[in-house]
Amino acid sequence: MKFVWAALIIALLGILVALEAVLVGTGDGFVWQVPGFFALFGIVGFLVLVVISKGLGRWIRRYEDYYDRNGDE
Amino acid sequence: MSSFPLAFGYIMGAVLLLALPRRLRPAAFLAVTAVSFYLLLQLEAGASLALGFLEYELVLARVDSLSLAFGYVFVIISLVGGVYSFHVKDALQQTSALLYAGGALGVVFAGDLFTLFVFWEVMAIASMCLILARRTPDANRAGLRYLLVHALGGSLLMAGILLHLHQTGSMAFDSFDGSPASYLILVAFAINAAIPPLHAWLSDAYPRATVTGAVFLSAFTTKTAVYVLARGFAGLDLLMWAGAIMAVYGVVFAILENDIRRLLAYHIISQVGFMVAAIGIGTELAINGATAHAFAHILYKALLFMGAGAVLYATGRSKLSELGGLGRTMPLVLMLFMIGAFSISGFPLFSGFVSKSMAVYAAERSLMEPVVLLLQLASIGTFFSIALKLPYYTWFGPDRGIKPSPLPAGMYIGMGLLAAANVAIGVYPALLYNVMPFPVDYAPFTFAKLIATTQLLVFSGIGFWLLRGILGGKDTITLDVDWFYRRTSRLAYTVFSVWLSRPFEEVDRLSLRVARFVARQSANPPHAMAEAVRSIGYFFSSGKRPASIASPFNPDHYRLSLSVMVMVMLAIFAFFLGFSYFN
Repeated sequence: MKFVWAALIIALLGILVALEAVLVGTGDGFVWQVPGFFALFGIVGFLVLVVISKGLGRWIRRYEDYYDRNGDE
Repeated sequence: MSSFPLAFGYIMGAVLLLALPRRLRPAAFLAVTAVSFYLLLQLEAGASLALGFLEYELVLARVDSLSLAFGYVFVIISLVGGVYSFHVKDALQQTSALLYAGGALGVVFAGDLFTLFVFWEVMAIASMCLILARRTPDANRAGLRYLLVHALGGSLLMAGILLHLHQTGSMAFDSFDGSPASYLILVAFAINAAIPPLHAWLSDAYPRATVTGAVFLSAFTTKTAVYVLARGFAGLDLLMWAGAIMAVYGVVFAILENDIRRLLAYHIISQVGFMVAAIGIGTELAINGATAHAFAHILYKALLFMGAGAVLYATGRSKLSELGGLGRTMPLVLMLFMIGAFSISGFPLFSGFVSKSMAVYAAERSLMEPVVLLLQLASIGTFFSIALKLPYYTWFGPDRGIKPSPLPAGMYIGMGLLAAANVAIGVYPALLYNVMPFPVDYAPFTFAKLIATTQLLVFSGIGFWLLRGILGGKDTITLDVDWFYRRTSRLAYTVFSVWLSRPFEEVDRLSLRVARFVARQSANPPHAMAEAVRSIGYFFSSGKRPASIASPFNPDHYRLSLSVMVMVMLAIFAFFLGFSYFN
């Protein structure tokens, strides 16, 4: 089952990249002109955000009554 | 009346509302907003209403394309908010919502800084009332913190305005130069725009407001700040970077959130980041992008807050870790919420797509690639948090057997109206582009943009699906900058109250001891002298201390001679006093 999903995702990626390569073309602009850049950016960016916030969470996450116990007023 | 100051309509309406019977108030609320909508349509760009005040000219209404764009959306959202809160019978909420909308319109149409300041403060007070109206101890404390932050912002604004007036002699509200006064004003604006690290009031207070109050709050304060920044500080590089960073900041904090309305509040910060970044770029395209995004943002964010508010209203819960399985019982709310979620994520054919892509494209055209990438990163987080995580754990996920109470019809109608508006703008962007401050020369539906957006959304969605097991809400809270004035309040009390008064207390105690000692010794000075001699003798003689003997000095024996001495000294003193007086 996992293999089917992986194959589907790769097929989808292939279709989107091919469409972009054919219909948009590679301009001479910045790095996002590379076909498929935003697909990669989507998944890598997502992981980066999760890692940053989970790392931050270790530091700033508290129990819900934190302010009640530690002098709100 | 082509230059009627709409703010007065709202403020008069708010006063009138208090005099009406309870049952009529919701209808009167709608009547006030409907009449204002009619008056707004009569406004003509270029009109202005000025009156003299002391030696200055106050411009109560300056109508141009920028102020009109914000004016439209503010009146629309107050109207729809009135529909959504039709069931509310609480005079405090209704009055303060009208005052709040009036204050926001007053700021947007203010042509001079003094008028701006007055309406700025009206907004601060009225919005605080929407938080206090929840009437819980938690909301009361949050409302007080909210007011303190905005009071600080208001004072900075006043200081900046006075300094500006002193330097330039002009009260007109136009683009600022880089003088020190303009930086004071910039900080005040940045507080209301919730630019980190001045943002914590927003995520602190909005989730604690009433169900309907949060809808109004999500619309006005930050967007008036966007307007004043666009008017006063367009093209300031600092804003571009601040905006790009705050777009990501809001998203990162939202990922950690458990309370759905606090999650949405962090996404206000993130979305305002797009607008602030566009303002910092400052080209005509960018200002259009900021305005369009503010317009669309008010429509979809209010819809999202309405959806989250409906969940809170029906279930009494707002935490992801306590919600779940509402898909069967509240399907219509889910559907309407998803329209808002698709809009904020920038799905093609929803309002966010035609506005957000314009702001991002403006950065691309100005060759600000890092800004573009930061904004796209924020888009990923927005899609993941609001369109995937929040609905997944609220309407799907584990069924907790919650029995929601039925919602008032007005809530559904309000959400339906906004959903329709979001789709309409998404499908036919000219509706939005026609009210922009500059002529719009921008095509949102190009193939390149569509395919890039599709790739971004699909593949961040796949990322969520892979990690969905570890991304659920946890029943914790997240600390933010408000820690510095919440956790440290006791420390601040110790430092500024206890420590600061300690030297005074010590001096006080010491002086009392000295006074008591002097008083005791002067009761019998010869005895004191004898005692002093005795102790010196003891000090040098190393022998054992002589037994305490009865004092050889009888005070009564010396009393007469002492009094003579005192009398003589007083007489001399009196003589000199008289002498110097008559001389």
